[in-house]
Amino acid sequence: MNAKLKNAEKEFLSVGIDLGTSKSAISASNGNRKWLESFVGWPKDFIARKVVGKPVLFGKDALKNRLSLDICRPLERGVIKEGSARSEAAVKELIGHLIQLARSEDGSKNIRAVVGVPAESFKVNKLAIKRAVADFAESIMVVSEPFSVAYGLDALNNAMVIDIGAGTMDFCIMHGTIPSEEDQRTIFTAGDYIDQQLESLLHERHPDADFTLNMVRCFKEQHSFVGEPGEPVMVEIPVDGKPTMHDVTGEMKAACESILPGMLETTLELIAGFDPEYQKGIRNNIILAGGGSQIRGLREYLEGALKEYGPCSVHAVEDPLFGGSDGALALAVDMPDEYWENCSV
Amino acid sequence: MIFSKRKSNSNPKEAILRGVYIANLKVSGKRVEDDRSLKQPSLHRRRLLFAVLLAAAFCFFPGPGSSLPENEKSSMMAMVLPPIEPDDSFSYSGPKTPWPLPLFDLVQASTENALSGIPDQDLTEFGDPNLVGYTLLVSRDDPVRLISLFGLGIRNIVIDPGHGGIDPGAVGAMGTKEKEITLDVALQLKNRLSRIGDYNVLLTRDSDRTMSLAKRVQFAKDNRADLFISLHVNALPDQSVNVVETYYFGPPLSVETLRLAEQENKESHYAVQELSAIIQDFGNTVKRQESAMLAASIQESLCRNVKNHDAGVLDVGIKMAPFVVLSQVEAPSVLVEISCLTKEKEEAKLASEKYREEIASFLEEGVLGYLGKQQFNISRWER
Repeated sequence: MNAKLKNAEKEFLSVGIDLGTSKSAISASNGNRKWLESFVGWPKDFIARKVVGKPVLFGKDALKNRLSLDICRPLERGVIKEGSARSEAAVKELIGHLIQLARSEDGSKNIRAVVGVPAESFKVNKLAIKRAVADFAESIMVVSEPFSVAYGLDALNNAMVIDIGAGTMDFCIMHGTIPSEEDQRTIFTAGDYIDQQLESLLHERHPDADFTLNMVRCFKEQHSFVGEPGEPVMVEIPVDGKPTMHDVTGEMKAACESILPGMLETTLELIAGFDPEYQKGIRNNIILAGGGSQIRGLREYLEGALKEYGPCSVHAVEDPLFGGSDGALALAVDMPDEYWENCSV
Repeated sequence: MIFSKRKSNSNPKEAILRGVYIANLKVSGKRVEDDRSLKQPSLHRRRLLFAVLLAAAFCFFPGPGSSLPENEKSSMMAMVLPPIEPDDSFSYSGPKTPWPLPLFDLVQASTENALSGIPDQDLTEFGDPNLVGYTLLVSRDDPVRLISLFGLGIRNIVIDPGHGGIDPGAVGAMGTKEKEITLDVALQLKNRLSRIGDYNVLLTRDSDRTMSLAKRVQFAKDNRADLFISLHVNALPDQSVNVVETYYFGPPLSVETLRLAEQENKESHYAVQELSAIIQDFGNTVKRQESAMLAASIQESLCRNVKNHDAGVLDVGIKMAPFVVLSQVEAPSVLVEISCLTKEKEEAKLASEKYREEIASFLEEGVLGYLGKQQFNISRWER
């Protein structure tokens, strides 16, 4: 831990939070890093409360006990699901739980939080996230998710970050200053879109197979790929109650490749709109982040597709789960005290 | 390798951190200047500066209203209005002076211009016999306004972001929702008007929640609204058109207006019987008169400024329509269709925060134009 981090720890606990549609992560200046699936569940009744033993459950715990719970996945397209008081309550619970996990022995310290939101969030979405964090933090700032990833990687100049989450795919060009609206894009063909495509294709191909969207999500996380498959993708899906192996290679390929046109088009559009003198530099420093960056063959696909525009280089982050929260933490720690004072809640 | 090294160059980082900070101040509706607090003059110096400006203003504009407490208050209120940049459209015809024009003259000129942009017949062609009696009052040549005659002031401004929660309003081809645009613009308009300091600016909703029209009306009543501005975004069958229009309560003139009223009145939670009573009972001269003036000022500002972004925008002027939300609020009230979501290019622009900020500034200009007119009407008559 560097000196600045230790210094920051003296009075405040700085945290970076990546609230994801599918997974949420927190990185804290005390070195704690935690993540959980973005599910919150409340026991349905008194019996359920006795069975699960807790007033509220999170992540995998909530999923495991979902039959006893009113379960909520409160984030949609990276922001609090609209028009639902329950979603707002769930996000509050989720943030409170994440901060509790990050605090450990630093229970009494005041929190300074930087929270990542999709690149093209509306002000109202940012305010809603701020309100949700306000109960747990003394000061809050919100930043765009791909920007926080770039900041954490120190890719501040001549770089492009493509953050592929569940709800959104966020693009951001970095050129030595805070990215403007023109430097950022958000599209909604991301992880959840792949799930929907895969679910639909599987229903079409295997009408007798019995599966849920959650199972489809697990298949994707284990086997997603674009381009040539290394080996056939075999998954177990029950048919009339009997576990049966299915070859879903074609469906997996088609579903994963459904996000490529939007991704390529937006990448090219953003680069083409940038100063021509710097376009080459940006093409040579494209960073894939978020869970979607782990899709096998994606990096190679993008490099291949951009080759005709000149030399290019695409990297995938080493730690997609904490890329956003680590970057947000770096911002929280580097932010001068006087700036924080004006951003208190 | 970009993942393992952190560069030592701290300058871009400082600029970036400051950028993040300023962006967050804007989101919170705080003044960006606030961050200069470290370099701000002391309270004493600020007070001194204010006193000097105040004294200078009184020296320049003693005016007939200076002996009247209400007018004095009006003059002071005008001095804290942000200056409106004069442009070619201003029609100030008074004597040329070697010093800058008084601020209130500029404000007045701006609002006069706002009304002059509307043809005379616009105010009488609505087919409403009640308006005949208003022609003298609303005429652009020499308006006599009851609000000024009775010295009525504006204190509480209620802004109503249309739709919300389970009601998304119009939805563009790319998924942009009317409820998100109206809320974002409303928040920004509130911040802008609040900065002036003389008005208590309230929102019927400040988050994405469902709210019936009846509740919006009740909110305006409970908070003693002096002005009520409802924001909406148009959706039209012809997807190549962008239309800006401003409504105030009255009988409709066209089937299209009726269609829009039907659309915006959904979920009103009023019974039909109540509505007919509402229309029959409606005869408040002040409200009608001021609503028309406010609508005209907003429409003029919005159209003139939006034309810089979209030369093809259609200015269909101010209109009367039987919107429930306008009928039941007792204060002067307007419903503004600030843009058009069905035109693809317009939807793309509305998705940009910068453009929404600009729309809020155009609305602010329109509201301030109206308020400026209201503040100085009597003193102008006395001259």
